[in-house]
Amino acid sequence: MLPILAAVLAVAVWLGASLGSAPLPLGQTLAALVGQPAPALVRDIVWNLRLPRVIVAGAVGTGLAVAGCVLQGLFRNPMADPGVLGVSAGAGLGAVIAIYAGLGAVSLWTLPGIAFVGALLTAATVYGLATRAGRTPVLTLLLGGIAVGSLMTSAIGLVMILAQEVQIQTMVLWLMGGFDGETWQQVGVAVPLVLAGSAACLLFARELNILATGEDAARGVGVPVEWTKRILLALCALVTAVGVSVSGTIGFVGLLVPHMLRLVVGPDHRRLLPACAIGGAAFLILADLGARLVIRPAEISVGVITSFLGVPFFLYLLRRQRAGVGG
Amino acid sequence: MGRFMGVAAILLLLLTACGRAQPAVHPNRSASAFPLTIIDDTGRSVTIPHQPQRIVSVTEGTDEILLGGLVPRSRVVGVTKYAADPAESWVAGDVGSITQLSTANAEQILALKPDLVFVASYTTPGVVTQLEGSGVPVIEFTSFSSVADIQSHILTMGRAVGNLAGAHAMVAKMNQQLAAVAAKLKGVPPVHLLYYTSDGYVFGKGTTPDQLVTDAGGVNVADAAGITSWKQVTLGTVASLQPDWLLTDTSQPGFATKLMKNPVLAAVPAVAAHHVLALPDRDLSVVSQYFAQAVQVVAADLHPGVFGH
Repeated sequence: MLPILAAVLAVAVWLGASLGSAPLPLGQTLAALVGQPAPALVRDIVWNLRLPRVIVAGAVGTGLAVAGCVLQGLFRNPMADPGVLGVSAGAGLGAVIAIYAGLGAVSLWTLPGIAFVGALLTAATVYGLATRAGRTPVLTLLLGGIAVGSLMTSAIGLVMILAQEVQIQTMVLWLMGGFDGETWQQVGVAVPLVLAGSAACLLFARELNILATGEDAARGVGVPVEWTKRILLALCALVTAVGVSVSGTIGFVGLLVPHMLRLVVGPDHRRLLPACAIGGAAFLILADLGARLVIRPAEISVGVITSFLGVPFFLYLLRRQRAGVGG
Repeated sequence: MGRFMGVAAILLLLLTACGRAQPAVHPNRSASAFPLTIIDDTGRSVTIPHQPQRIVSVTEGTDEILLGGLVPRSRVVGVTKYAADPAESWVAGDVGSITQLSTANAEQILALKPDLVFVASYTTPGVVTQLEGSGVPVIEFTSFSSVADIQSHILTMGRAVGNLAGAHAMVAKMNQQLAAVAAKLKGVPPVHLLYYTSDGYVFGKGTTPDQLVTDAGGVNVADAAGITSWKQVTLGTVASLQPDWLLTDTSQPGFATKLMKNPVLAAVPAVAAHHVLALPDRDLSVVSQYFAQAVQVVAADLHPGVFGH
């Protein structure tokens, strides 16, 4: 399965670099991509506009899908996604505050920086609230995350009411997520962090498999349950925080991709996690391509594309799960 | 611990990126000699290697300044999608076959092979970085709140396109038109007015609509209510400000009629006297030399006796 996913990813990268709002001949974009002579404009658009965007989208897709998969395993709950720790809502609140305070134009990094701080603070708060005497029950964590997340969402609404029309437009665009305007600078900062965090998650595949049988059973076979949880939660928070900081909140990738791939490769995390890493990248690159092409030459937010795919799938899961429980 | 070191490292990176100092470059004083260097509103120094022949504008104000006579149409290759809309633009008839950009998207802009791009502070920051990364000179304007801002933009653009004389002439004509209106309004008592947009905003001190209203012989009652910049208000607030004139835009057809029929506003002098004026956005949100003409339009509507209507 992995070779097929890798081939899909390669095609996604090629398409992502070849298609976009400016109609360029496919032969020329391919030539530019593989370093053959191509017109300067084509080389410029492919290398400086499209490739950074494709790489950031791919890395964020990897991060969200891996984090989603890890959290679903950790919480033993199919509805878990990177949003459950309140990370996305925290990043969103950081971002709208930055836009409201007029800090967005200060530098390319102010907005993502403040969003990142908001994301990590929220995750730390949720974790702190759910932890008692060194133990963090997953149910408390899940409920705490939902509660803090909705508080953040209300705070976002409050800031938006206070904001001016032009600012609201910027906020809505950010909250819907997108990869327009990504440069090699974002690639340099975000991609290593997301990929390193995701790779670290892959090392815990065996522990996740054992945790799926229950925490007590895992303790019984010598898995340090609380430490494993702590490390994995921190990795997921980091990966998601970096992802949403550079691209805005992008819903449902972390929910959709692990479930799709679980149907194909099965629940064993040793196969599922690498599949999520590659499949998540391909999915988000293609979703971003869709966002660029649907109303070409204008763009829609990639969050709209992922949600339009994700919400029906989520509802399907919900119904299937209810039926499975005997409802 | 490695994770937290990683976080600390990113934060440090972010901080250094924020605090990056701008290099001090002295502006070239010569108007027509290229290459020239311009310091734009953001403090960035922009070097323009030769006289621009393929100019792209992604703001409505710069659309109007360029096509309103600063350069021949043949030197403009991209404008906003609003430029050709007569309700939004003073230069709708001059756009012709120039590409209209649906959004400020770096790829679309680069595909036009521009040699100078005008953007505003509300353009996506990443887009500006991308254009600069591709070696295209980008001039950014950040403040649009007064006649002085507009005129400073015109002069900066005049230098950038190598027509500083034309820019000075444009500013002089604007000042003449404003002075002519002011002369006619001398001794005329101002009317108390509120500009209420069809999406529920009012404008106060520090905005171009506020100056437009004042220059056209009005007193902006939003100022008296202590409203600065712009704020969304309820109809109740509009009623409590008791304006003698209501000014609104035509973006939503029938909005002015709706205002007149709304019982909340029935006791407002403007509504009682049918002093509700609906004008297209090109008059109300103008940030180019056409500001002076918009002042004439509003003044003539507010003071028909003086302007011979």
